[in-house]
Amino acid sequence: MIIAIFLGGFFEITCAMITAMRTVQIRIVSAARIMGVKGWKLFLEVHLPASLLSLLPTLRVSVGYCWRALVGAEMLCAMIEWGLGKMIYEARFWNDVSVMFAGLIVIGVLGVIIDRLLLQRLETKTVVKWGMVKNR
Amino acid sequence: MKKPSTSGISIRNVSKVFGSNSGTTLALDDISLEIPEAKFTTIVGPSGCGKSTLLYLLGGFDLPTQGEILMDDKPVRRPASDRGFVFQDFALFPWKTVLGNVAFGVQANGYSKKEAQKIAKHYIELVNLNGFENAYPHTLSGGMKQRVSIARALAYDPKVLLMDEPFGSLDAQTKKYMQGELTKIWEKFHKTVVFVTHSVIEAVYLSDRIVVMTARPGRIKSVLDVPIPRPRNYIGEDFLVIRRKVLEFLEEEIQKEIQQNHV
Repeated sequence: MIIAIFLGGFFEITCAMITAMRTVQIRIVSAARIMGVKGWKLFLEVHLPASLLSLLPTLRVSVGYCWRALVGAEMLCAMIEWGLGKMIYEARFWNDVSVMFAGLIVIGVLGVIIDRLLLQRLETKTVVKWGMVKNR
Repeated sequence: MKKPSTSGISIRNVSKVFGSNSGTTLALDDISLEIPEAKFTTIVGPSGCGKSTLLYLLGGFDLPTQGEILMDDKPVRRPASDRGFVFQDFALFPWKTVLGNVAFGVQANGYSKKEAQKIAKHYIELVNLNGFENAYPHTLSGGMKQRVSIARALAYDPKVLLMDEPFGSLDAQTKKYMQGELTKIWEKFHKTVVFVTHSVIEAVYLSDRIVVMTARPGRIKSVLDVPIPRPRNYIGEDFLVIRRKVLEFLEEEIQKEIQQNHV
């Protein structure tokens, strides 16, 4: 299951990161380099925050993928006692439509909650605070 | 506080060629120049003459195709904290406060966070931005941002300060104010400064020495000394004489540049 989640998001996030880092204004990196910043410090304290803005949309989508992967993996995993995915799967078997739909809705709602809790707050604390995004 | 130290720079037979699919461009052609220690040197020239390219080479962001650049007898080949750089578009770190920006370089050079902040506060005061330590760059005006940029470049006490048209994106009034401030700051430290601009007035106001470059490929056209005591009067007799001399040289090259590119 962990592998499923991992695979669900890994490639998107990696690609996005590479692109985002390339998009970073080179002058900002140059400014840091001439101060003598290099190596890990340069990566963690300059490249990473600077590329966050470009990274966020893809991050959002990737978390969505991961969430889906989690539920999907649950459906196939025989070892789990009870899980949302398993519930839907069994409902399909018994043709219990209402349970199926209830399950789907819950998946959707939980996904939105995750987005709100994790990513929106991340966004507010970082990119909005730094003035890189215009807020309503 | 450490006593500020400074160095001169030796530019020897430096050429820079840029290559691309559409051909190669000779940006700088065999430039040899001595940047004197503890003096304010300005490089002026028509657009595209390579003055910013030269400054970037001094910063170590790029390597000359030929020739070498020496500081303290050591070749300059990469960016390092013995030099400071001020960019035209400020290049502040938007995720750090003013204090964070200015202290960043200091911390990167071996000081603890506390010490770095103390030193940073001193430079923030120097550029008259007391009270703005916790502000984020996007809340500041252009002039303020550039002051942070200058404080940031000076804070880790580099030997040389490189400035690439730092007041180019400011309005005329702020520009004048910043020129005055920079002169005051410079008088305190007398660091070697290499300043690039296309404004002759700015050059004559600020520098001890003015280097005029030719249109592309960039060569040294002439070097003039500006022995006027500071603070200078923009409309003083001696100021105007030197300004005229520089303008004459520059106009020739601007005309050449226009011929080359716009005919």
